[in-house]
Amino acid sequence: MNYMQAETILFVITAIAYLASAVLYILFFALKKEKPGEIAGYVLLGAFIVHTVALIVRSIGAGRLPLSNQYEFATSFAWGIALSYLFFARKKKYRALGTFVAPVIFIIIGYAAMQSREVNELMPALQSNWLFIHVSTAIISYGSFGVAFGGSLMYLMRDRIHETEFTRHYFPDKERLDVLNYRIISFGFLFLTLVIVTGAIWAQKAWGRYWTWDPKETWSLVTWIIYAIYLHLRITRGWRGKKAAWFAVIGFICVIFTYIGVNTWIPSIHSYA
Amino acid sequence: MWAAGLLFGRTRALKKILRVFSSMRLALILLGLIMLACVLGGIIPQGALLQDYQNVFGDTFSRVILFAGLDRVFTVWWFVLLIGLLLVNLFLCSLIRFPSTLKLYREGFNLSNCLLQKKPSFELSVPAGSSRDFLKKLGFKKPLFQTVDGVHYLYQSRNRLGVWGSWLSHLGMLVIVVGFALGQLLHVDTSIYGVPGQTKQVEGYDIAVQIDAFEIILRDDHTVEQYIADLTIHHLKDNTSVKGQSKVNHPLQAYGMSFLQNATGWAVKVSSFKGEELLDERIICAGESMELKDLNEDHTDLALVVHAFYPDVIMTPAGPRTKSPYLNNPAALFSLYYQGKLVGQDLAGMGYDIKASDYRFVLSSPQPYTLIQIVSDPSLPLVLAGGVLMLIGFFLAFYLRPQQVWVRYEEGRERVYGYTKKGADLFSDKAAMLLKEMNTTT
Ligand code: HEM
Repeated sequence: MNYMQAETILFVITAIAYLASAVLYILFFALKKEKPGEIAGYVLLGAFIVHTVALIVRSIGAGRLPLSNQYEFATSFAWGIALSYLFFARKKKYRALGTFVAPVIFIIIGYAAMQSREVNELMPALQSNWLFIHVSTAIISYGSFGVAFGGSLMYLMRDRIHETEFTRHYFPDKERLDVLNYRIISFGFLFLTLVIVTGAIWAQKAWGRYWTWDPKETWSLVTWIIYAIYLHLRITRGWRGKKAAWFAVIGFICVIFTYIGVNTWIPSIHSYA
Repeated sequence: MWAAGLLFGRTRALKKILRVFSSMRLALILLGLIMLACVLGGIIPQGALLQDYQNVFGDTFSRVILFAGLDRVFTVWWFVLLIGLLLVNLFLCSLIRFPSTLKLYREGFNLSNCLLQKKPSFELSVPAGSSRDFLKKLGFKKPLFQTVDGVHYLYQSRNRLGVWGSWLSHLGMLVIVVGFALGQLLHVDTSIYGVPGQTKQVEGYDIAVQIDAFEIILRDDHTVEQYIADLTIHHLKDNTSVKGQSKVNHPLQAYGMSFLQNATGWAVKVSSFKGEELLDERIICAGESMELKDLNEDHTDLALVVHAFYPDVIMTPAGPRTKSPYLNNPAALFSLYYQGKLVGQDLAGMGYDIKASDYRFVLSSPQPYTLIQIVSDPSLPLVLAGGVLMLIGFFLAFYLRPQQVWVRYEEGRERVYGYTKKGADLFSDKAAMLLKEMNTTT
């Protein structure tokens, strides 16, 4: 068995495990029963570990990090969300967040499954350490925005959830959720800033201009501005909470658009990747 | 009297304007508008022709696009105006926030401020004698003993530097925007191309680029691994030169300019003859032409245009293509013009005669040419510094949270207080957990 076959098997296991954890989280949320939630957490952790192994196997097989075509970036993106979720929502009181995040992870893995899994050789412009810093920071940044997206959806739904002993235990109250979302977004924002700065440094080396308003650059700036507005709105009284949460939702839609939409619909020097 | 009133009115108006221009509300409006402009510029292809827009967007909308400058969003006057306003906004807000931030940094961290604090982040009691230990575990290793109004306290602050975070980040943004604007005015972006052995002067500069060698490294699957150009850059005035290599992603730096290996293509040697007499012999890159003007009295006016070059040509229904990047079966697609009129178009192999009455052209010695892009942007260090400032600023703003703790000695117990503006929940959680730990271990 070669590396790529091994990776395929691991990837399939990963996808099934993410699906299972999403289903369990939804059961946990719908039935308000503790057990499925607990299992979902373990399944997600397991999926993440297998996913990590799959990425390592692919890296060894390709002789480089898997960060350069749609499949590779999608699977790494899902990995980033899982990592960020496991980190930020590690406390029991945030468990219900999984109901909103695990399905997002699964959808992105599903998207990855539909892409070509071929290993391409890198064209010279892509052989740069700056590119790898650029893309890895993007995975971390986008991953945390994915979690904040889930957290914000939950925030927007929080009023509709009847307060019981169970919800008090596993559902953060609105204040906490707002602060958690803020914390995740500020982390993602710091990393998005790094993404843009390292991308600019790379572009300067590869193309001689650090900023050319190419659609992918422009869309990452749009995303950055949306989150900057979010961060300011939180300082403005009366804008915390719901309105800010909507910005986090729109921000993530922008992230998805920057990543998939721009590559698919708009011509760009980035789209050969 | 009226003059004073006018003056007073004026300063009031001025103050009001200043307040508006330094406000976060304006910043938010501007950011929102700039974002919208970026959305449009990110969707509508930039710099295309009316016809192209008409094909995609229809006639009316295409006219709107051109009228509003949506075909060049990032240079149109209203976009520049928005950025200009943002610049003023950032500048004023940085200016206005400086003294207050400095004051906060210098005077905001002390016990008497804390004692006025109505809403500490946490407040808890620890057994007498254990507060120092408690603070140490909380990350405050050197609290100082102080007495206020006869009551004894311990006090320490940390991460005071964090108050500069958002100010620095905004300064960084200001620097980036200024640097970018300067770069727009001052940057150089030009190119030369040629084959090894040629020296080309950079138009408008006392710089010439000599191409010493050019190599394309291919992998087994014919994909390109790297393009490598060996260059000598001559400074024509100083009579000095710099030798070096330029690869994709590794530009050569010389005389304040970067020389980037940007693109490549094929060139062939074209020789033109009248009968057996050699008229001209030059290396021509795909896309260029050789013209033979006014060769004799009857105004022979011949031009050979080399459109494309195929190192390993095969014919497909869609026209000629190349099978591989290797020179196995080289051919060039050419057109021949006589007095401006197209008289022939075909594919020619190396060494064949392309005949036109008494004249003929022969192609030979195909070789890749290199396109070297030459850029310089004196504002680059400024922009980079802005980026670094911005990153440091955000890091400080998000992760260096200024915190203060104080302990009030009371009879039989010690009351510990903590205050922080940001992340109060984390701070109080940590303190509560520590207390729990201490209570379980004792
Ligand atoms: C390019 C435009 C701008 C961007 C991207 C931006 C971004 C940010 C960010 C990321 C923060 C940090 C928020 C936090 O600590 O949670 C912040 C804070 C802040 N910004 Fe801006 N900003 C911009 C322009 C402005 C302008 C023009 C003003 C002028 C009033 C301003 C006023 C503030 C204030 C008062 C804070 C709060 C600082 C604090 O909490 O210490 N911003 N900004």
